[in-house]
Amino acid sequence: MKKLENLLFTFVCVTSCVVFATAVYITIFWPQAKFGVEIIWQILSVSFLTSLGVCFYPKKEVSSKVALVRNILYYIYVNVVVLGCGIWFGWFYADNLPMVLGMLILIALVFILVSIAIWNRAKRMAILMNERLKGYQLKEAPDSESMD
Amino acid sequence: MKITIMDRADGEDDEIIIRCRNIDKQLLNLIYAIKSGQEKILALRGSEYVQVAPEDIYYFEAVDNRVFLYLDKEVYEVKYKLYELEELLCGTDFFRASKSYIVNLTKVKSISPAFNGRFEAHMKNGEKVMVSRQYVPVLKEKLGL
Repeated sequence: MKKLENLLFTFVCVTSCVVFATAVYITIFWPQAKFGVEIIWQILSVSFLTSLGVCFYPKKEVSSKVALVRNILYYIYVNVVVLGCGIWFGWFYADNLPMVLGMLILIALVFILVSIAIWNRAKRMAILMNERLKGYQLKEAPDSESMD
Repeated sequence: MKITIMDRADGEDDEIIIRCRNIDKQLLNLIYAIKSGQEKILALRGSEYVQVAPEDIYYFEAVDNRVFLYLDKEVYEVKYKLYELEELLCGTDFFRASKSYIVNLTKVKSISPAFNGRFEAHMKNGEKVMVSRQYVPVLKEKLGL
């Protein structure tokens, strides 16, 4: 259930950011192009596939180093999925360097924005935890609170 | 709550009997207060054994098959396994924070987010203990979230 909740949260964040990234990308590289409804489905599919990566994070305890390596692997996975789908859907030409660079920059921006959103969510949870912690300590040990 | 104190027969041990319909949080706290008032953790300071009250302990840490108990400034070794302490301290202020730590919630000053879904518990003695992703739900439950 928690995994599904995390997946949904990531999916919503990724989709919102990808819509903006797509708008920027189309404005720069395909200003005259007309798109059908298929572009919406393409965005949703890519967002879903990249969000699926959060399910690969095992609950098992790992060191900070391993956690960092996993994040790097996830970033590589996101790049492979977006670039792969991009070629498949014809979003860019693999031999057009500005287009490839544009894609890479937008992928990095979306990744950073989604990471910030996830961090903010954890921060909000920590604030809630601290409020409850204060209440817990006052309720559970009113005497020891004054001593610490 | 009605309190009845009864005389006991010679040769019998002192006993506390709780008669209730449901065990609520208030009652659990009362049981814990009675239990923690009696139970001390046996720890090794150098070569001598000392008794430590659970409420003075900040956290337990397992390092290379040895378990240590951390007070405000002192560190003692205990002869329990971490899972034994987890069972012993079940229903008290202690919670399992990771594979290697059991933390006293009353000694946590604040909690902050850490990398990859983990949280960091800042202890009142200035130390930091990591709460792993696996045990974040345990902490949340303890805090009623």
